[in-house]
Amino acid sequence: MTILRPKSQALQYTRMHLGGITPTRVSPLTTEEIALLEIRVDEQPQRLGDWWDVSRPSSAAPPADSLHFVGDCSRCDAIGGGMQSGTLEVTGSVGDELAKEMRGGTLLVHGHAGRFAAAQLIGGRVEILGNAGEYAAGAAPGQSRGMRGGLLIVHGACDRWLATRMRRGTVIARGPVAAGCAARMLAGTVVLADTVEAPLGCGMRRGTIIITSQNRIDAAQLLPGFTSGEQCELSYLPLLWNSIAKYLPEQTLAKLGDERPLRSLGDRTLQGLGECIWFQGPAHENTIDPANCS
Amino acid sequence: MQINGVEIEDTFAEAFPMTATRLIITAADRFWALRAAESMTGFATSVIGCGCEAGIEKEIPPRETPDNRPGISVLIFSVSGSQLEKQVVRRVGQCVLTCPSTSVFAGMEGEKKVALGSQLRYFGDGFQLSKVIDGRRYWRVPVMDGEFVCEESTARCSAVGGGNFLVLSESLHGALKACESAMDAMKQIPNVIMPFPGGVARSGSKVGSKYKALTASTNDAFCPTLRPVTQSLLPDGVGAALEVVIDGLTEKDVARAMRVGIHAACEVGSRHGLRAITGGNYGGKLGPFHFHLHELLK
Repeated sequence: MTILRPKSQALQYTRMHLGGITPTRVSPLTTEEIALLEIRVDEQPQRLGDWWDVSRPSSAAPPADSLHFVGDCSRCDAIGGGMQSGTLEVTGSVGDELAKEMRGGTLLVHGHAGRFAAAQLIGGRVEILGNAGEYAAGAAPGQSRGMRGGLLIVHGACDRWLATRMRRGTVIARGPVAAGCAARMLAGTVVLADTVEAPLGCGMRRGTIIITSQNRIDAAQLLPGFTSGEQCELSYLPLLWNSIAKYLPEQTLAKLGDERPLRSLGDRTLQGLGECIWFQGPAHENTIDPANCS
Repeated sequence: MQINGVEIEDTFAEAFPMTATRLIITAADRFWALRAAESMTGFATSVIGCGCEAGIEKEIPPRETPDNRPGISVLIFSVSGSQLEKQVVRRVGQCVLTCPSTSVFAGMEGEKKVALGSQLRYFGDGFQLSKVIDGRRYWRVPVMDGEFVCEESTARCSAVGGGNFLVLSESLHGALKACESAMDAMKQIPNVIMPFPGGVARSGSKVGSKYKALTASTNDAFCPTLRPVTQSLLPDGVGAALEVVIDGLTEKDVARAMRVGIHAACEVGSRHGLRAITGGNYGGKLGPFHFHLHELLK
């Protein structure tokens, strides 16, 4: 394992770009060689070692394919950028563009993430134990598509435009989600385990939104372009649960086992076939009209 | 060599190379999974006339299937990858897609692929949806009971077809008893199927025919009714011969199934007039896999 700790002059910069500093890249290098790697600080090329202390717990053991940032990285952008394998852990908050174009491996953040977290994710797993900023898994302004694969798990709250224009992959939001979730979504799966603000799925083309939270769905969240919720058999859901069960709150799966899914399709104003799924106890009526929900 | 007093002839059974795939069919319950699997593997006894050879390999408990429902594993064998794909798509489309509550998954990993959902999805007429879960693409085709879930493709591998042994008995009754016993034992062996009805063929064939259009014809050397007029290979006193045919994913799998089947046949057959076990030997013309019975049963 390689550990990076910010040096005391860490307050003397505005933004630092750490894209390309990945476990695979640093593992074969000595600490001295790692210190010579180039990063960009306030758009200027700098040496990593000028800003970070590089250490390894035991020099005798071969360095594992893992990298650990310890300290506040909230002004450090693109952490995990270009990562292809291994494990990257951050003890502290991170800046924007977390996991930019990451293709594999595991990235764990013990803190909050800025804007565009996993927005350009292609593969691998990103887990944020705190909150995620705007456009997590979504397309940044000017981009045609957001997350393209992999798995994003956010334990805290998600700010606006989660999964907007998302292309592929899975997002699990365990905390509350702000407005604009899954807007213009192209494909992929978004699982919402807590409250979600309206509007939801605006302009959705394809893909799946699954709401597992106790409060289920508020009618106002579904746009007029979505069909009424219909009970239906969805044979693929067990496949999905098998894949993501370990990332969901414990009580969620037990609850879902007793309930039947309701499904609404949209956004039909754009001929979209995206689906919004939520769950209802078997004792309820067969269908509900979201427009009549309170 | 004898087993339980049954003569094991010093010969070999010939088998030939094939290509194979495995599918996992699941359904709401065991009844429907089995109906789909039976339907899909019907009319698939021999590549000569059916385009493929197929059979049920085993039942799979819900905890071991991809969607936690009761499952059936089927193996399909054909002579080429393209022929196999054609048969798989046709059979899944007609027999599994149509069966209530079913889903189909790849039962094999590998680089060589056989199309599955990638072809069948068009039945959805534009309403089909795909979902990538753990790197595997599944197609969801809307049907009248909900959705038909079908994995994008399955893999195929080289395999061995036509492994066999012949049961030579004093009577048809005795031959049937021996074969039934063999089948009961061989059904427990993984990676193999016995594609004929009940696993047994009574119309064993030889290579070629007097009729130019036919590539195979009745194996007259083992037909009791032709004993006086042909060069019969039936020992004296044998009134009926039946052939157990085995397709397996590897030569080892076929050999294991043959060994288990012959032992089981001899154990029961000896009480019912089983005289001998021999192999379908075509002088090396049929295929490169030769299963020498004596070596197999050492």
